[in-house]
Amino acid sequence: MWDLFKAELLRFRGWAIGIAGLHLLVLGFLTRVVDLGQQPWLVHLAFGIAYGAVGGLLGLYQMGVYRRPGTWLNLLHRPLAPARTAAALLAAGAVLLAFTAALPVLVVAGWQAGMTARVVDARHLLLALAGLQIAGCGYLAGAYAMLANRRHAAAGLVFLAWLPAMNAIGLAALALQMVALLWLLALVMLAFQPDLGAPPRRWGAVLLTALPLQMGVYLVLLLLWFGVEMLWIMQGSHPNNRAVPAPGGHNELERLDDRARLLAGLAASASPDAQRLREQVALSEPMGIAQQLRLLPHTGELTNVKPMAFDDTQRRVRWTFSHDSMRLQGLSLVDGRAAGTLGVGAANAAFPVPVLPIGRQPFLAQGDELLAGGNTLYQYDSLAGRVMPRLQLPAGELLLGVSMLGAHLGALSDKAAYIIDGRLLRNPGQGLLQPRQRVPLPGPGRFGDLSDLTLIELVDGHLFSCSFTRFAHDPRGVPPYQVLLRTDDAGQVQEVARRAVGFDYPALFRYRAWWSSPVMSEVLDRARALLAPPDALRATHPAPVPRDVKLLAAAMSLLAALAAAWRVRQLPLRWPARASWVAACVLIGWPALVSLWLLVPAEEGVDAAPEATPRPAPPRALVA
Amino acid sequence: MSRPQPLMIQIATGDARPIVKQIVDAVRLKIATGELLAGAQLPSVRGLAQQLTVNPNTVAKAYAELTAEGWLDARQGLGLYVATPRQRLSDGERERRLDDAIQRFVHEVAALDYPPQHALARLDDALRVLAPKKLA
Amino acid sequence: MNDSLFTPETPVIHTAGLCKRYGRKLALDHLDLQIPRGGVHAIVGANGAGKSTLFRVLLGFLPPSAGSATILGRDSARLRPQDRARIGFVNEEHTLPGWMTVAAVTAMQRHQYPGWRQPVFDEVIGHYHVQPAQKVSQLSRGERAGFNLALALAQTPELLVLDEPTLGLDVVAKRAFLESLLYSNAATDGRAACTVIYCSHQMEEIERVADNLIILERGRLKHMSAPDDFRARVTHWVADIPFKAPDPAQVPGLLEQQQLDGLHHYLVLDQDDSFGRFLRASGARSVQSMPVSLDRAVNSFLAQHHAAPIAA
Repeated sequence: MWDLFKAELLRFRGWAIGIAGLHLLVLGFLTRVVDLGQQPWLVHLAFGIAYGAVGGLLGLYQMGVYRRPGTWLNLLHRPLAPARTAAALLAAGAVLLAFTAALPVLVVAGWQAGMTARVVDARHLLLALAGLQIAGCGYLAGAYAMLANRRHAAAGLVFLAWLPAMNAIGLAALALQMVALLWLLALVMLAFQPDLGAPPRRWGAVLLTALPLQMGVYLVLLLLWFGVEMLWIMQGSHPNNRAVPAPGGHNELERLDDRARLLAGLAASASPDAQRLREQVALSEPMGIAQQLRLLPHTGELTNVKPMAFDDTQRRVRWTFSHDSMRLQGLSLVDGRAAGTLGVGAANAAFPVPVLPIGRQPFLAQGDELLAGGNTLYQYDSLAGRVMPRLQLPAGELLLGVSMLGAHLGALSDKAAYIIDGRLLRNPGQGLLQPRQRVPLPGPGRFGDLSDLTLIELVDGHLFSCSFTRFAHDPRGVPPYQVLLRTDDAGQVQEVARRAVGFDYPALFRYRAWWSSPVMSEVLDRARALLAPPDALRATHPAPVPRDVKLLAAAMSLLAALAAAWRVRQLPLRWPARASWVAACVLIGWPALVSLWLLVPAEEGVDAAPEATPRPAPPRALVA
Repeated sequence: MSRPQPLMIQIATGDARPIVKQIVDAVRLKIATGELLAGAQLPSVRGLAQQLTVNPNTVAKAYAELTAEGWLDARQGLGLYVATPRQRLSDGERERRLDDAIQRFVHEVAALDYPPQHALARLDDALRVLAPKKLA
Repeated sequence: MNDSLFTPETPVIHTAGLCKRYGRKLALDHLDLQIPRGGVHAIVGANGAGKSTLFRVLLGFLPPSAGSATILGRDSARLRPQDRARIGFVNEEHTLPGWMTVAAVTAMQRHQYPGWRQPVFDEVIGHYHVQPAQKVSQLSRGERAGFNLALALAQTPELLVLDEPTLGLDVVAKRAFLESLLYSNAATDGRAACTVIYCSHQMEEIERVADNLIILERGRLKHMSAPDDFRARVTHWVADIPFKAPDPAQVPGLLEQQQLDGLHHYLVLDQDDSFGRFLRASGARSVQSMPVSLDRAVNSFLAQHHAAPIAA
């Protein structure tokens, strides 16, 4: 076993050294140009794809050479259990990937930590492990693609699709990557038999192979639906592409300009003030509150929402947030050396959650910056060299953005909108700002459903229009509606109008991902959300599944089960296995049926033996 | 008497005669022409097999046939030796075998289109080799 | 299934009704084969006769479509590592990993096989100019074949299967190969005799080394006996038939028929002197017969079913 392990390492040592060197060069070049620890998710995705591809190529090539019949026989016709031979080969692959994917990252991170004043947290070092695990998943998926029966060799790709799709962060993400790795490892070990290409027989093996295969089939189904939608767009009657959207639908509402939207909402108002409000809409300038935080940062996450750094142009210092110390670390832009640590307030206390800079507003002095984290808005005071909390929303709300609304300041959280008197903004030392007005977002929709918030200033207060149509095309969205709220100087909030907005897509099309396989749809959502922190920005209030859609799903399951019941008769299975497959089709629907067809091949029929001594055919005659 | 004599025979594959028969014929000829004297020791089964690059079982079969016909003696623990010559076959058997051999010769030669005198002359030359050594 | 069931009487290879289907074609067609212990068994068959498929099934690398196969008394689909230690396999496409050195491959074999005997390896490899530091991919075809054979023989297997091992070898390499094979087949040293199964097209080699001749054709067993017994079944008759020759379908046991220079040549199977009478009855003026060489016998036996141009 050791001989094989060493031989495999020697076999690829040239490539390993070359690729590790190239990796090191690329990272070394990039780290001179940017701070690699502060790259957004897209950059990590690109690197992840590269690692996965390198691992995949190694797996495809290594097993591709071995799987040829003569070489496979040589490899496995030995007094060594196949599992041990597999372990030797895979261990060599793991070492090679650790050397090429993880080691350069550690080297560069170590250099950055030791030789520069940039922030290097523990989470950055974990990137090496993530890279190794991603490369390892690619490697095992490639190996499985080569070794398994052609009919289900692509099942490993499902795990590769899961890796970027999972919402888990930090250590949870690493743990889930390990789960994917272990599952792929089990699949490869199951396929590593003398009888290469034999489909799994024992029920444990069938289960381990069938579930990813069914998810893969489901994903292909979704791709097909995407194709259908493309055809619909090409045909021209797709709701998004029509020149004139359907009246009263959510598409129309989204395309209206701000004033028209307010007027559309007022049209449904039963309030006696409606006419007066319409006049004011024509006169006032519509405003909105910017949402600077489209994604929330989390402690310990491996990637970044966006660079967690901002520059103090007065003091020539760059402040970067460090997850390890939960404070801002300074880096002098003049000489590149460390320039101190900054926490909250005079005591430099740790921030409770990671903060992101959200840009400057007009009321700030030169060099100051606004930071948002959790429910608090902080202001970095360049002159005093301190970070002070300015605005604190009620516990449990998340501050998502601020912008000027004329003379006042508007703030947006995931539960409400706030208006702060502009005169209070000047003096940072005055303590926390108290909002003059809190406008809770009208239910039942939640922040994920909110597609638009527009307001105008009235003589006495403000008029808000809230449109909840963001996921109107999707099963997870609330049935679309629009609400108009009015605030007055006394702080009261009053609902002026509420109207339901029509669906532009028929229910069967909206729920296509659901009725194709309700179980798989649920599994997909849960797999993405597994161990992930709750995402308040995409929280919605889904409508219950319509009855028609449920009936269709049930009909599809029944059809699949009937087809399965017919199919299992032709297969060499015992009745418990047959019953399980039919039950799976009832539960999971068409993906289970397709996986049955792929995983359990029909028996190779052989005719009965011919007569014992066949008469020889008339022999050939040669004529000279 | 103590060391095995080298056995200078060849076998040919692709021949109409089986290898066993070729070995038997060759050894018989050597004994008949006097190249192998009575009492000479033949090579071991394994040794001859390696020399001819054939299966040892084939050599063993040939030796067994020669021993059964009386050409060789197997001495316990010592090996195989050429037996002292004596008449092994009955007259009738000898006549029959001579007829067989003549028939085969004639058939082989028939297609060659030589005049009979030529063939006879050559046969005479070949048999001359046998003449002085044959004892009654 | 324990090894005590594998007695000297158990056949080393036993198939019963073994079938393997590839698409529409049956590579193995209800094959019933029993190869006894000991000796050298030659398997002969045209390309496509199913020899390679048979060995893949016997070693557990292909599942049979029907029937059973056992090797050394154990089910082929359930061979354990200790069973594989007793079976040596040398294949002409038996590709060793080309990137490993000779020394590394040898070391791996030495560590893995409990029955490894270094003197046997050294003796066999001595016939070929193979340096330990050479990579396997740098060896010539003959050297690789010799290396494979040395590795297999040094394992001291109970069953050694050689699938066309001398294909593509030059004369010198072939000779060295046969010598190594015969040498260690003869070398018993008190251990159980090794059974050798030898697949080849080379009649010359088979005539030299085989104790038992097995003929496979289109996945079926056609013949199994000692080579000379088989050759004795085939005779070559030459007849001068002035008028119309008998219809080929009427000729008993006909394998091959040729007309050369006005004479009719017949290669027939299992016919005695009555065939001569048949020919005379069919109008032959003169009739002669003679035995054939082994390769002629086997070739005509195998060729009898092959497609051929229709006689004019």
